[in-house]
Amino acid sequence: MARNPASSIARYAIPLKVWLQRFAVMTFVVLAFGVMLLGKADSRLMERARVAVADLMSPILDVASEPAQTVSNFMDSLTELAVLREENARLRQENARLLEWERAARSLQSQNAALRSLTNFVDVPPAREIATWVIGDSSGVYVRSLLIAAGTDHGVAKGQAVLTGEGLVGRVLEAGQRVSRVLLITDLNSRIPVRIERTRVRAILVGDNTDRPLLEYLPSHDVVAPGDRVVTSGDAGVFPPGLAIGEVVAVTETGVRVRPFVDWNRLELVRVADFALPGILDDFRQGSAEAAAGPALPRASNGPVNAEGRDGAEGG
Amino acid sequence: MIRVLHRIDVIARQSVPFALALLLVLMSALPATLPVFRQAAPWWVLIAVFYWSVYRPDLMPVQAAFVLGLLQDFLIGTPPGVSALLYVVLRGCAGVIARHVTGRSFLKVWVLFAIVAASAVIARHLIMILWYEQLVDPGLAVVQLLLTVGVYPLAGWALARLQKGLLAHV
Repeated sequence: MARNPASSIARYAIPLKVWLQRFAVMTFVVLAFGVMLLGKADSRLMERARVAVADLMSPILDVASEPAQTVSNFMDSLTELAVLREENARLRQENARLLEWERAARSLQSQNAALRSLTNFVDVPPAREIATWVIGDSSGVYVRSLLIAAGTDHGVAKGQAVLTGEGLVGRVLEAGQRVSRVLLITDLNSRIPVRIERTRVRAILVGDNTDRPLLEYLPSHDVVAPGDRVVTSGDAGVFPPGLAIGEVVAVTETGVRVRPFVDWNRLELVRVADFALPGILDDFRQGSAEAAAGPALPRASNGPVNAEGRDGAEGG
Repeated sequence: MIRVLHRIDVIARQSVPFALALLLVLMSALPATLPVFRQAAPWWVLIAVFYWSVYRPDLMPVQAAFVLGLLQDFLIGTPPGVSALLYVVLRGCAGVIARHVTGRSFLKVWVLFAIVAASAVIARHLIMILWYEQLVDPGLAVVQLLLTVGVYPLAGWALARLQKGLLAHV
């Protein structure tokens, strides 16, 4: 007799529970759509929210990325052992070649210094740099970005260049307090004004989520050949001119592909460089770069920063 | 006292599915350990959400699926809300899927998971195309789908062991 009320409650309670559960699914589906629309409408707000979350999680990511890195290093050393002899021979050859380049570079350097002093040349100011760890890598199917363990506390700000010794990695998309997100040059949203080092022709390096970004807005495909080095052009004032990016690997009907110098598999430490450029961060201002084959300046230097002056003055 | 300890034990065990999925979300944001998995790692979180939604829906409520998805979107930089939407929809379909899963051979479960994973990957790809307003190369997504379906037997086995070992009586 005492059971009756309970079972009658259960009779109503169970459908109610099911109904609530269905309602919950609908609620959260709507909520997810809401977040998506909000993110589409105000990407800046979303990027801030993202970095805030990353900031919160940074202690965990910091700690967790260390064992991950250790495993990664171990795997690397195993594969390295296997190709040690080959690698050694290759390095010897490369060393011989580089010694020759060093001689050439030294003579060009002294010539460059002499010419600079003759013309009262004003160079791009040297960058203020910090080095930091990569603590998160979301190189997934749709996104190419990194989390680095430095933020506004360390002087990192949106738009600064992120580099390794090999070349340009990307730029700071959003800086949190202790963590920042870096948009890689291979990301779908990355557009970088570049120059072919040999021919001085300008183009835009367009990421498409592959390891080989595309060169677009070239006047014609004749101006590039596989092996050509691609460097930043300095247009739009986000990056200084002459930062190494990669080399052209394929020139086909479908497009010109560039292989970045950065070894994506071994990104551990990166440098964040503040070139203190007054540039704007609106990626699309360099529509003017479509007239890519700008007037080529007389060239001499092969140095890390090309002596071409600021493109802002040149490109208008 | 014993009763309190027992209660804590039960709660700790019950939070294992969510905690494990949370760990997988964090792992997906870490620098990859293997070069092969750098770009297209298996979609571990999808496996976890699928498994718990189907076998222990009480321990993977809708809000948990939503939080996992949103956190993953925020951490790895995919458009916010996309993974959240997919996990919530998957959790919402759990009842239907569970009816087809219970008492079936493992092969049938695997095929069913493959269908679910393919639907999720296709849905995500379509959302991405709408989001970025341009065609995105589906190659990596296909690789990820194959990897995810490929690791399911192993992952499903591990999760089943975990369920039998830790969650048998809670």
